[in-house]
Amino acid sequence: MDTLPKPEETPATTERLAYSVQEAADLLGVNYFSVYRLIQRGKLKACRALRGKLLVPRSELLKLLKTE
Amino acid sequence: MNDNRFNHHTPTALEEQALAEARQHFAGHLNQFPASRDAIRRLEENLSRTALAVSLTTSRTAPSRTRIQTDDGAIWYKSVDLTDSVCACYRPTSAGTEFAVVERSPCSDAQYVVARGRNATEVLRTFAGEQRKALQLWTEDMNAQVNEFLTEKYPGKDMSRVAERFLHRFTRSAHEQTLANAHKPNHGRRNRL
Repeated sequence: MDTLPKPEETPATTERLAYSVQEAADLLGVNYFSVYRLIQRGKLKACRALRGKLLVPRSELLKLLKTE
Repeated sequence: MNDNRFNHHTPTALEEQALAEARQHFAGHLNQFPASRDAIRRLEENLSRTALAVSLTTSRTAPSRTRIQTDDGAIWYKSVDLTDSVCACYRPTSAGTEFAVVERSPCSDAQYVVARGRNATEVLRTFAGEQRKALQLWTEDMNAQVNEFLTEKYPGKDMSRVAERFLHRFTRSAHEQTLANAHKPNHGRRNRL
């Protein structure tokens, strides 16, 4: 009996929407303070999750890399 | 002297374990924060001296000047390095010399103005303030992250004292730590968290 093929996961469905500052720093290859500075200077937009933790949207990381 | 209430209460084994886990989980932050904080303190302590050095460089002649173009298109002349990615700059204008602190983006060669003005000391002071704000942002985020970590790791348990103690350690200055170590008694006593 034929089995149904598994739907392929596209990158769009597996990619995370946002990252912690630590993860963002690791992705950008910079230290943590650099990311906090970018946020504080308004060069990188971040939002606050539950309990106030900062989250950097993936789109903002990509925008930062594209615009610079 | 130390008003942290953890010091007035012997931590439970669970609290000690939770603190050790938090320290391990956030080791990167614990390692990086002191260096950033101490760099800001050095900048603040040497503000006048640095401002004088910046002012003196404005008399440099053209061949020895390094041009910097910021992302707003403005041209500046490099004066003094403040950190590996930040420098003080100046430029002559019709209204006199203008000073700026210019930062290079950690992700590219783009450079942007963090602070600017006609008074070098004030510009440096503004920059130091901006650095302090970024450090405060880090501390607030750390607070949120530690609380989230402990809540997820120990659901239903009150780990507020652990979070408090972690933050106390996180923000404690190297100078305070040195002093604390210097005054630490030698007789055997159970180490508090």
